[in-house]
Amino acid sequence: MAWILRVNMRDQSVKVEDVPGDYELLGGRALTSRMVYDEVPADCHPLGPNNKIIISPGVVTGTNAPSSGRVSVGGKSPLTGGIKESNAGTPVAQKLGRLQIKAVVVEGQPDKEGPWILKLNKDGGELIPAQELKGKLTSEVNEALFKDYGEKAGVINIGPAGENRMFMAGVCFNDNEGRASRYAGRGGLGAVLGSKGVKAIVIDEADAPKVDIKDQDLFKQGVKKLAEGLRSHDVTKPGGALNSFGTAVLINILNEAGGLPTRNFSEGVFDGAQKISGETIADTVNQRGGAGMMGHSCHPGCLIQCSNVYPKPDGSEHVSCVEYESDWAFGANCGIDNLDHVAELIRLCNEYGIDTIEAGVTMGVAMEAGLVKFGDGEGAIKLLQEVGKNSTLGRILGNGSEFTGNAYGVTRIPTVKRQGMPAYEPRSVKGIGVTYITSPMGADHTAGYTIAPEILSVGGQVDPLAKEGKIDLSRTFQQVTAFVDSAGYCLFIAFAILDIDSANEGMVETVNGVLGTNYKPEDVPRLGAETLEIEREFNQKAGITSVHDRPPEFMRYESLPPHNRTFDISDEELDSVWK
Amino acid sequence: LSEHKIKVEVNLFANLRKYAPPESIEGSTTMELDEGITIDELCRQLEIPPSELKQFFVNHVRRGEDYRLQEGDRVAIFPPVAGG
Repeated sequence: MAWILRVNMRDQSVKVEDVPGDYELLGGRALTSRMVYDEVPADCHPLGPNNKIIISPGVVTGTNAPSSGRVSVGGKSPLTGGIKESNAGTPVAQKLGRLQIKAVVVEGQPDKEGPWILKLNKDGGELIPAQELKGKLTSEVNEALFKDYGEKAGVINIGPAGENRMFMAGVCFNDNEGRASRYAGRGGLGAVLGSKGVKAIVIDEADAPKVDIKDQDLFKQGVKKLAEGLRSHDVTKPGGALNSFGTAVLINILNEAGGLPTRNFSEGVFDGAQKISGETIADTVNQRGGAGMMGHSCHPGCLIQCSNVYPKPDGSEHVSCVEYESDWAFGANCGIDNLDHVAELIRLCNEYGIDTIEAGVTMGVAMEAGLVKFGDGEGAIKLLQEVGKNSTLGRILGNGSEFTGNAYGVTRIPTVKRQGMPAYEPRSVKGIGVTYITSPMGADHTAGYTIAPEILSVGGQVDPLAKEGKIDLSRTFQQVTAFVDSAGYCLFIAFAILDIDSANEGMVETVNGVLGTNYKPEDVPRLGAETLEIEREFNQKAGITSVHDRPPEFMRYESLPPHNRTFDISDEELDSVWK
Repeated sequence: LSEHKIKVEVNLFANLRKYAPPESIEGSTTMELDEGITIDELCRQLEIPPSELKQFFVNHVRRGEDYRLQEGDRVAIFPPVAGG
């Protein structure tokens, strides 16, 4: 029997609730966005008592469906001021799924000083005062909690940045080995959890009932088809590019396509690309040996295994993981071509509990403002440490790229709805620009990853520089993605389901198997669209309208080398995404 | 064989780096090639199995395998890659 755990921080009550009938078929993003829409006043202050944090595993999460260990975190974003869903791949997701927890809701605000730990198990939950964890780094929290609750526990936590209510604070989940390294990073949801005085959530899955699967045969058939697809597709198969080189294998191809945002989105080609590429990461791991590894998985049962553990020169562990977005954010975007510096910047983000994309984009804006020179890795490390110190400068940086740019009078601020842009340049790759601009989430590549056909030639091939067809392409990708985010699958299954029909059928069959539904592959965009519609409606009530579905102005008038293009998809065309 | 030769910067990435000429550094080298050579012919010269090829960029623009390389071109040859 699925259940909802509702935690009210004002009266410190922890209640187990039945799942309302109209939530029964929802999970992941579909459920977090629906509950935020239903329960959070759109005009509330994101850090005030009326915002809520909703944590929900995907529909198939906790089963043996491949690469399905995703959990969504939802709420009103302090960064964008709109609805937010951010998800992470982690064994914690699977524990929540096996406990049959549809959602954990954290609401209200305490009137006494925290923080607290929320401990939850198959019977419910309890709040435990945790003064000793106040201000602790995420790795320190994990170490303390695994010591107290055993290594089989699952830990969700926030770092000091979340406690200090910074807009770039993420929600951190443990990886397979217990590292504090897997993030629902985007949009500042760590600050919302911090505003409620919750430092960590500990999950004990002893005697968990496991995921209730309505049609076992159909489910198994779906798993088989999807797994075969993932194992046979060139980019997701064992020894394929993702597995061998990690997601940073994209650095070189985006660079060759002239779409790798460089030095705060002022160029599309980075002369140091090779030095921060997935190929160089893999070479470094092989040369240094020791704790380093490629083909690391973020949760059990992932067939893709695109994560890594990056070693120091002496072979000891530096950080997990150096993935494409983080690598680009502190690498090309800051003009830094030293992987050890990039690794240290990522490690600091993981420890402080901040989103690597927002932190990297903020660093690029800070370099534009002259706080540090482009390319100065050591200077960037020192500057990022201000966030950890919670200094005045650190607080400015900790509130993200738009806030920092405004503080220093910078006009080249690469954001949409105040969220920093990820690692693809909209002037060189137009479809992903449409996604950044029209997603209810703000600039978010995962919301509609048109990079697949535009750059990777997966799911067809379209010219990245052309504007024709990009409105429809982005819309469809956003709709399908909303479904995938709700099912609990990693977005990277998209490569297989775009190219292999049976894998796509298998994905839908696993969802039908769990839910007892009869969805067809052609229903997927419509089902995803339902989630997008409520997200957009929430945003409208929060004052975020089509006026905010716009590129940053400089991309309209600054031509980007090497293609020397501006972002030329008109406002009217952008508005047609949702009309 | 053409009498005229052109110089082209050839870049091989990811799993294709093993097909790079011995003098290459990190899969990259400048090669002297016959004038009028296509990308397809270059790949055959490098003995890259066609099944391992996915796409090509020349001077930051995606091109087909029948594209004829020119003096000073930078060609990038990729196997299937993905990420995000």
